[in-house]
Amino acid sequence: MKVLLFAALKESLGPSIELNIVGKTVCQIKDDLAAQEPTLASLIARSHFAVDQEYVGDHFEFSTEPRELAIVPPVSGG
Amino acid sequence: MIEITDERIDTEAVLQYATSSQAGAVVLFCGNTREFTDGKQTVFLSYECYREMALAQMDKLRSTVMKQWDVLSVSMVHRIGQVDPGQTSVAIAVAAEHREEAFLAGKWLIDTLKEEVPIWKKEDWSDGSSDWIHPHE
Repeated sequence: MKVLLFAALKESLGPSIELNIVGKTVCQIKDDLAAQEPTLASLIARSHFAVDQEYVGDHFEFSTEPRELAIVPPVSGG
Repeated sequence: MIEITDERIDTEAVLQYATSSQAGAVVLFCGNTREFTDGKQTVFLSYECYREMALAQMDKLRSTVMKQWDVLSVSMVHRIGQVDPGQTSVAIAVAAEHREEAFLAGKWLIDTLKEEVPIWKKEDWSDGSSDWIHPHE
């Protein structure tokens, strides 16, 4: 499914990427993506996932595709 | 008032929105672009947000504050896009009957916003380089 990206992730990979998520945990998806994009591995490891605009933990498992999914790198507003 | 804007923040409006005749104390916090960080010069900051989620999170922070402290009203505005040194990127106003609650709630709001709300800044430095800021926890 289409996964939204922001800030440094967006600058490197574009505003979204296609990922297979069903049956995987956030942790597994992050590990796969980090292996695919080694220069971003540290940033991906520190990022959170937001499912339908709510944060979920690294052990959250996707049984279905949510309406919206985003990878939220560490925030720096204010 | 919970807003994300591309325009200069009208801090007087943020303050007025929180103010009421019941409030004996109104605290206004402004987060401004700092020109120097560890000796490096910032030309400007660029802010980006995940808009719908950021607004929902800001609204949640307001609800939490209204429950936890004796606060009458909260208004919060974050600017995105380019913000030059000395300009305001975020303004938070908290009104309460007494100052103690207003200061405490205001501090909690800006501290938590900086940790949780999906907004990011990029530093454009005077040497021509730029960095997205992604803090290490």
